[in-house]
Amino acid sequence: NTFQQVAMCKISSALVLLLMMVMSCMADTEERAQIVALKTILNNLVVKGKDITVQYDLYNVGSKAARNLQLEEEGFPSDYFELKAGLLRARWASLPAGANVSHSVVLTPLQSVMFNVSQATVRYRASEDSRGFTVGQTSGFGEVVIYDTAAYDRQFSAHATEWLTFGLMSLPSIAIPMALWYKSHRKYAALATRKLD
Amino acid sequence: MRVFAVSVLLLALLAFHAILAQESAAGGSSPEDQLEEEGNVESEGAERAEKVPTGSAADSGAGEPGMASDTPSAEQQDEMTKLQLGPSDKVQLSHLFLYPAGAGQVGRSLDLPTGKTIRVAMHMRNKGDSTFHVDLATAAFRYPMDMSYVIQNFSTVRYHGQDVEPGREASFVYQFNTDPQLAARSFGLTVQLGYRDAEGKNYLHSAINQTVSLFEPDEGFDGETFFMYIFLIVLAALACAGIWYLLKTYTPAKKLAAKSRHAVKSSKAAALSADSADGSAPNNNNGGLSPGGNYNLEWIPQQHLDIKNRRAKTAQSPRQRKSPTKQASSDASD
Repeated sequence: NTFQQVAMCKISSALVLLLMMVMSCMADTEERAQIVALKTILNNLVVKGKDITVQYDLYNVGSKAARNLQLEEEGFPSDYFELKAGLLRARWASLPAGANVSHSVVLTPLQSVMFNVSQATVRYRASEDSRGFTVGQTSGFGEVVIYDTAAYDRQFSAHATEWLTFGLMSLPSIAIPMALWYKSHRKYAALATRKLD
Repeated sequence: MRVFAVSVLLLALLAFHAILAQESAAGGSSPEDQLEEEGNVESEGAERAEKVPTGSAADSGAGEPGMASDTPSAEQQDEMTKLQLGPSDKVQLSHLFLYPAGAGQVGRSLDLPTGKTIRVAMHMRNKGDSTFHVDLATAAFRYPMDMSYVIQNFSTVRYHGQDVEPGREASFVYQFNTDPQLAARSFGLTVQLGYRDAEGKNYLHSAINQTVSLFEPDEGFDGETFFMYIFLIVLAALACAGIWYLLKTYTPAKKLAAKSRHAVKSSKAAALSADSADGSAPNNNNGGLSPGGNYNLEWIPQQHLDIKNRRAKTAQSPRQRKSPTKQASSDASD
């Protein structure tokens, strides 16, 4: 009988433990931080040789502060982009619940290609007592066309050289008639003054 | 046996508590302020979605038959429910409005402005054991009373199977434009994320599935209205000027004659009274007006008046006229 009782005890406690585990899984209203990470390119056009600004927004929509927040960007290889300002790896000690933070990076594209702007990685500790890091991805930006300088200048530059060339090329069609007129004007003006004398 | 009874009681208590916890989470009382937890609601709603045909069939892109306008037969309904796409319970999906910021928070109704770009961030958490591949995000305005009736579909953004590993999270931004001509009314807004699991089964998970009300934002200075007012003012001024001109032109001659007679009397009274050479009294002169009284003779130089009077008396045709010099000498002799 005692043996049976002990066995029952063990089974019941095991069941209780199991239920507690199941319960904690079902209860989604757990207290943790949750980081929504977004990545945007602020420029309208991405042109080779012209700076672009990439902005990362991190929102903590959870109920607890996020600890050891790290942002790692590996989607801009150094042979395609040159880092002008900012850091591709950023860290924050904590981000309180309901707060958001922004991080910007200035890059210069080095090649004119179709480039896929992929996601950056965000890792953080969801709460004080969580052991592992929660890893997430920022939103991607999709494929962008990196225009070459010639295409950009064709549309947006001041075209100073072109105007100067145009002016020089149109000069003969103005100068030649003017010279002819001036020649005859001088001749008849001289005649008129001679006549008066 | 006593221990067994106690443990059974404990078990019952815990089970009851677990069920209560699940219900309270589904009730929407989430501790987070900015976020609406859809995970639990969706896992319950998955069964509902299986039974009720939703409009998501039309835009999931998996080739399901379109919604028939008439009531489908039992066989067709079975087929439709089989192809319904619902959420996966291994995925927790939440949303956050980026523009307008803070829309749909607890205590604030979801109001969206018309004519603006609405931006939503969707946050996905993979609680399962296998990788999910995210394919697309889409949204639609539906009839609030019947969410299966689509009023406006928004563009589908393709993610080309972006991987979300087990235990990881991912964020997606979706934006759409509300037409400025949409009247201020309420719509059912659905914003959905389409993904598939490692076995290839497709899911369509609603991050937002609620009624929104659209309002017209207050623009402040509206260039169109400002120039319209200027146009109306100018039009009114033009009308006034037109009326004044008409009144001036078509007033009766008497009034005009009286006016000019008065003017002549007041300004030329002294000159006329002093003039005694031809003995013409002011009355004979008809007040400086023509015999008909139509126009003022004061302004006409005297030589024109004399010539005209003389010609009227002689009444000679120009052909019979002698040379101009002779005519002038005959005039001088008169």
